[in-house]
Amino acid sequence: MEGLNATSTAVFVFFFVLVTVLGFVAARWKSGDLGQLHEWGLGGRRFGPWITWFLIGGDLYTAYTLIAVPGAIYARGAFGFFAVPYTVIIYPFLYLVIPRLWLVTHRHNYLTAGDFVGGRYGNRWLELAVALTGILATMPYIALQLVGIEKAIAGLGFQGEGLAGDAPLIIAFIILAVFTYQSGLRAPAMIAFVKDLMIYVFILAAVTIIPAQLGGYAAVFDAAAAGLAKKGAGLTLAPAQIAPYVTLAIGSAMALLLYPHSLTGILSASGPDALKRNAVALPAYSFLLGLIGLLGILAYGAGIDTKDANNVVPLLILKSFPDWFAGFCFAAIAVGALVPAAVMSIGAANTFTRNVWKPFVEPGMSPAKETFLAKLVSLIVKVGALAVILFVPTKNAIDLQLLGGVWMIQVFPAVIFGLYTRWFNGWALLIGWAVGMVLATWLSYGPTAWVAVHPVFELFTAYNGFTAVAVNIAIAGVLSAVWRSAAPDETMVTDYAETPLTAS
Amino acid sequence: MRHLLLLVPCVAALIPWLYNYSEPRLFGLPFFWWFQLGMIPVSAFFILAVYLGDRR
Repeated sequence: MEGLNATSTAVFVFFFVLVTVLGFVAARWKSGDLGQLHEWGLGGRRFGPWITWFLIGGDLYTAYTLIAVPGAIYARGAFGFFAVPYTVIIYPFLYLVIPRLWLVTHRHNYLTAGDFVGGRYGNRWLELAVALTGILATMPYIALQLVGIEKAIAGLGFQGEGLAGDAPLIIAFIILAVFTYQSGLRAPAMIAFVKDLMIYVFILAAVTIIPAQLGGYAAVFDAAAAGLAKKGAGLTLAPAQIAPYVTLAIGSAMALLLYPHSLTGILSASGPDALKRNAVALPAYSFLLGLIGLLGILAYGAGIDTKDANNVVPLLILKSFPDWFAGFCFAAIAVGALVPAAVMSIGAANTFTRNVWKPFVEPGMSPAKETFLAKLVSLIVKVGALAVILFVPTKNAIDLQLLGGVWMIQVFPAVIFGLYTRWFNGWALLIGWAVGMVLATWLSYGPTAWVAVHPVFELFTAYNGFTAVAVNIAIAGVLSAVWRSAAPDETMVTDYAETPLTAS
Repeated sequence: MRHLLLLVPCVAALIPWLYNYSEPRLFGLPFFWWFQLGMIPVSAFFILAVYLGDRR
C-alpha cells in the first residue's frame, strides 16, 4: 500500500461523518428523561421488533467478527465454520428462554444479569461475581472492535509514525465516546440501521462479484482446498476436529447471550413478542455471517497470501474492488465497530454501576446519580480499551477475548437456571462459578499460546468453556442438594410468565 | 410439546456426521458448506412455525 487513497478515504469520511451526526441526533429520538438509567442505558425499553432487529443484529455481529471469522476459515478451513452451527442454535434458545428474562427484569426494574441474580438468590457476592465476569469479558471485546477500525483505516493506505499514526483511530474513538455519553443506547440503535445496511451491501457484493471475477465457486473452493492442504487443514472436518467443533458451537452459544452487551440489546426490546419475532428474523444475520465466512475461501481464489489471518479481509477488499467501493467496505467495517463498542461500553457501565458500585459502595444512590456514574464509567471503559490497543500487542487482546468467552459461560448456571428454578443455593453457584473460572483458565493455558480446546480424560477434545461449565454445574448441583438456602427471593413464579391476553 | 420442534434444527446443526462430506456440491460449494448455510433458513422456518402456533 503506498500512501493514502483519496477516493476511498473520501467515501470513508463521508459515511463516518453521517453516523456521527446520527449519533448526536439520537438523543432526541423516542425521547425520554436521560437522567434515568433505564432511559440512558436501555433506551427506555421502548424498541419495537424492527429497531430491536437492527440493534441486536448490529450488536452481536461485530466488526471483529467481520475480520475474524473469514480469518479463521482462511487459517483453519472447515473448522472455522463452527460459527454457523453456533448461530443456528442461538435463536431457538433465545425464543424459549429469553422472554422469561425480559419479563422478570421488566417487573423488577433490573437492568443487568447481576441485578436479576442478586434479586433471585438474595446473594450480593454472586451478583458481584456475575457482574465482574461480564465486565472482564467485555473489555477485551471492545478493544477488538478497535482492531476492526484500525484494519479499516490501514486499508485506506493511512501511514504515520507513533502517535500521528494512531490519530485517526483516536479521533474515531473520541467521536464514539462522546455520542455514547450524550445519547446512551439510542445512539447505537440509530447508527445500527446504517451499519447493518452497509454490511449487507458489502457482503452481498463480495460473495457475488468476487467469485464471478475468479471463475465461480467451484474454482474458488478448489483453490482453497489446495491452499488449506499445505496448512494441514481442509474443506471438511478431520475426525479429531468433530468434538471440538460441536463443543465450540454449543459453548459459544451458551456464552453469547450472557455478555452485558447482548443483554442490553435484548432488554431494550419493548416486550416478549418483539423478542420472539426477532428469534424468527435474526437468523438473516446468521446467514450473512455464513457468507462472511466464505470470504476466507475467496481469499484463496484471489491468491491472497498472508501470515496474519486478520489481514485477509482488508487484502481481499483492496484486491477485488475499485477504490470507491473499497472505501465503502472499510467504512462499513469501521461503522460496524462503533455499534457494538457503544453497546458494550453501555452494558459494562450499567453492570458496574448497578452491581459493583451501588451494593458495595453507595447503596442509597439516586437515579440521577446512577446515570451520571454509568455515563462516566462508559467513558472510562472505552479509554481503557483504547489504551489496550495503543500499548498492548494485538495478540494479547485476542487472547483475552478468547478467555473472555470461557469465563462468560461460567455465569450460565446462575442466570439461566435461575429463570426456571430457585432450587440452587446462591453460595453453591458461587463456588461452582469460582471452580469453573479457574478450571477454564487453567485448561486454556499453553506454554506458547492460549488455546480454546483441551483434551478431556484423553477421550476427546472439547472447548474449555464447555468442559469447565460442566464441572461448574456438577459442583453447584451437588452442593445445592446437601446445602439448602434460606436466602430471600424477590421474585415470584408469575414474574416469569406472560399474562395471557385472554385473561378476564 | 410444540416447543420440541425447536430441537430439530439444533440437533441437526450439532451432528457433523450428517454433513461432513464434500459431495454433492451445489453452485460449486461442497456439501459441508451449503448444508450448514441452508440450516440457517431452515431453523428460522422452525422458529416461525412455533411462533405462529404459540400465537393461536
